[in-house]
Amino acid sequence: MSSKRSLFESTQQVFRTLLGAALDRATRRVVLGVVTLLLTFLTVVPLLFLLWTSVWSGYPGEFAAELTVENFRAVYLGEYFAVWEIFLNSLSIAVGITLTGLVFGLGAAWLFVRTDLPTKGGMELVLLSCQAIPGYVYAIMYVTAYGSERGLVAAAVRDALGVEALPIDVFSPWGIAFIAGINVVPTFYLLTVPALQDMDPALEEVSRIHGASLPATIRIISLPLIKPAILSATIVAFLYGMGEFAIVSILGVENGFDVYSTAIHSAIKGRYPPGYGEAAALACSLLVLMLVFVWYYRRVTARKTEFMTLTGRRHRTDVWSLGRWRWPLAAIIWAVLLVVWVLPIFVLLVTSVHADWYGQVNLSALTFDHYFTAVTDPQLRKAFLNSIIVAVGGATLGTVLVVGTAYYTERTDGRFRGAVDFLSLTPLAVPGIILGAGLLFTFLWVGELVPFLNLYGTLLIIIVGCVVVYLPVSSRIAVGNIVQIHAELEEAARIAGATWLQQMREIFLPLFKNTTVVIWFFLAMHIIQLLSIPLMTYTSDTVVIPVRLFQLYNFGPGIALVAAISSIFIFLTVGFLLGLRRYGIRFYELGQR
Amino acid sequence: MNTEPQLEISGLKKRFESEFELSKIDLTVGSDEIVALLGPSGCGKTTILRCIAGVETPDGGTIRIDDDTVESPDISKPPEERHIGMVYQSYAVWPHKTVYENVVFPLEHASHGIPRANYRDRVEGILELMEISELADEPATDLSGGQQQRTALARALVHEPDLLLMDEPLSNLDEELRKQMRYELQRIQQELGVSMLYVTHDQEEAFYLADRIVVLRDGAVVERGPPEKLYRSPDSPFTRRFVGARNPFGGRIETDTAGDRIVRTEFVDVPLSETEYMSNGADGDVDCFLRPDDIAICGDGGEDDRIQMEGTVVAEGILGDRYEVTVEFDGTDTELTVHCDQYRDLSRGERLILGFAPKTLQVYRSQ
Repeated sequence: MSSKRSLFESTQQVFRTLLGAALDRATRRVVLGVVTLLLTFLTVVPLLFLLWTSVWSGYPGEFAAELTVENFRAVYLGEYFAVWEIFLNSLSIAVGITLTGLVFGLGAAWLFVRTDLPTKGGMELVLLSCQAIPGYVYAIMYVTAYGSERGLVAAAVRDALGVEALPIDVFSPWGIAFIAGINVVPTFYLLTVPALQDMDPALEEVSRIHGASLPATIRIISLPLIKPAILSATIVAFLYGMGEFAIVSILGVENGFDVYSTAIHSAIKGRYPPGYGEAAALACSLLVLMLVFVWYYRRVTARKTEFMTLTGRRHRTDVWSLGRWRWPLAAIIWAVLLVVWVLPIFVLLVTSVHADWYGQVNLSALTFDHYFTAVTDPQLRKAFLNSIIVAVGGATLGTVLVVGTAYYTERTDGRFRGAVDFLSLTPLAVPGIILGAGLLFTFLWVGELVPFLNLYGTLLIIIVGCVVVYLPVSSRIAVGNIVQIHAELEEAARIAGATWLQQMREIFLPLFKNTTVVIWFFLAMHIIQLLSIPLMTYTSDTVVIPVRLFQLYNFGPGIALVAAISSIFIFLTVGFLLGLRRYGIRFYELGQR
Repeated sequence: MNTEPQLEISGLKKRFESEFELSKIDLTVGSDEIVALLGPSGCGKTTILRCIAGVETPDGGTIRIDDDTVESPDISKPPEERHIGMVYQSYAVWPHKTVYENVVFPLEHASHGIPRANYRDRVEGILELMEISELADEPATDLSGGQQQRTALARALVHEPDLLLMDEPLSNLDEELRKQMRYELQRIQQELGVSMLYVTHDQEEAFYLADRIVVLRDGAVVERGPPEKLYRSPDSPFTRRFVGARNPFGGRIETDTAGDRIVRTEFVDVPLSETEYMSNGADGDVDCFLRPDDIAICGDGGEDDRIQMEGTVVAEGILGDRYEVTVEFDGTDTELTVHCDQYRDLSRGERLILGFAPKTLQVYRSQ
């Protein structure tokens, strides 16, 4: 027994001294190499195929064709696309979203963090729980509540005022921009709250002590200090707005209101034969625009570190007294929350228990039929199963990818750190619809070039796309938390004789476990809600819930069934979130640690 | 010159949820005077400063700055109307502004008699006084700790405030820089003649700078007076211990067989009448203190009226510009630390005879 053990030990010794070091280095190289290569492929390759498709006279996968500028000519000079109008529409949506996010998100952040506003805890909960509602459900909620034809609230107001039509139309471009903007308020809030919390209150106090009034202090000290955070949140909202699809598509469809994303979508999915080349050309034009913004975003966020040097540590958060405005202000905010969030959800629930919905409550026709259909319909069941597979698979792949690349960029002196970091951010500039189109083209080509790698028509293509969409946010979470772990902890393990693998297993991964879990759930939660990628890449076998909802709304029997499915979807997500909360996982605290 | 107090606080009260409360603090700072608030961390000294600045609202009491009531049950002026300057522990130098922009801020916002045309000269003058003129256009993020400190000080003084508040201004600096800044502060205060309230937990700083010291403990004033008095013979054992007289040890006042009253300790007995006894006293437990400078190593001469005792060296070494040795007395828990001006080549375990004059033994009733 003992000789056996010592033999084992000495073998291990020899192994470690002779081979171990080399093997360990090799493992490290392979692990990090695979992860970074995968990231590069996933972010760059779809764009390359997109570009190729845009200058190719044939279909993706068709070899008998040639390079051409015909697609661009068709987009800009042809009759099918009103490019100038699309550009202006996209711009107005993006500006509207950004302004709404700025006013409401930043306003809420400042009021909740820096003032003694009563009941702000409850307000924050309501505001953040809306992250559980995907954009398309959001739009449907607004149709049932405020739509000029089928809106319950709109009809009630109309009757109360005794007028034929309301002056405000939810489906006007600014209405759409406002609703889409409300949807990004939680994001804007989360991006600006940490800056407000990290700011040393002494910086403001000292301004007042040395003579500046409260408004002057906000203008000269507070706002400039959080400017980097505001700018980066603004750019994120703007980029999101330029690529916004779901809400515009649902609310704008009646007026023929088109933005880049909807135009690209309908060129591929709504035309026969599909206008692949033209869609690609249109997508490429938008991407050039977006890249400029991402470059600016990088510059802004890089400069942020300058400001951090003096404000990095946590401070006691001194709140400003609102005085006699406390309760009136709280009442106004609750009223806004009620109108933009609570009431639409309520109307959605009411809608879901009606056989048909015409904007009137009909107590005699209440029914749970739609809920019954929602859980028994075989197509819906299949879609639900697919959604679960995509969410779990995407969360797992995404977590491995972002933790690996974050380790590579923050913990090694690898040559491509800067490039990898940049690549993990680029999907910010690539709207889901365009990425979906890129993936579609990629695998149409790959199917021809290397048939055994053909992912077209599988769930894997959806998984891959979803992972890329959430790369920027999830990798920021990973990087932000990795820098909080002192590298000395890992170095100490190496000095104490551990190999890289042992160090990873014993020190880094256990320390990083919480972040890993949070990233996984974050991805699972968001991927299951994502519409754009599956919508561009699904086939009849790979329909997921968001796609099914979209189909049912546009071509289906009625909005009441859609409302029922949406309600179930919201309930499940909220239940899931509350469950996680019980185990101490709160996504919105990520940035604050 | 104005002889009225620049700051008058009476009955200041502030209650906190659980930790402690400020109870009825009275305080004055005279014209051209430096007053130090000295106490351990968490004793409420920073809270007092924040109440004076107006960034915290007290529960009761009045605060008058330069004969102007800024805080009372009816009045609570905002910070910008109190005409003061303040230096934070963290300096609170605005990271998005240059040194010049930081310093010119009070001129642009506070009320003062300096015409706009003179702002630049005024800022340049104060930067020169702080010896950082060459940094004027540097962004504040590029400054070292000492430079940030000077910037914060310049900003607090540039508009000639009625009162300068300092919250542990030197505690983030390293030892060398702290000594230098201590000296600079004194020089600047003398040149400008500003009234200053200085919060610190470092007794050295307080004794070096202050004209008067107020010792705080758990939100209440323990003792106040000029530094010499507090250093030589404070009224309370808390102050004695806090102002850094080392060598505290316990004892009892008893009456010996001859009928004389003595202070009896573990290793030596001293007649009570010859000690410095700080309270009226019956028999009972007392706290005794001996300052390291007041103990001598016998053989140094002049030991006529000294009380002698023998112990064993447990630690020795050079400390700053003097020699320090710690001696233990057999069979007791007491160790005495001794400072000598000359270097001595002692080693651990060596036997040593120490002596001290009875009048240097300070005796306080135990609390």
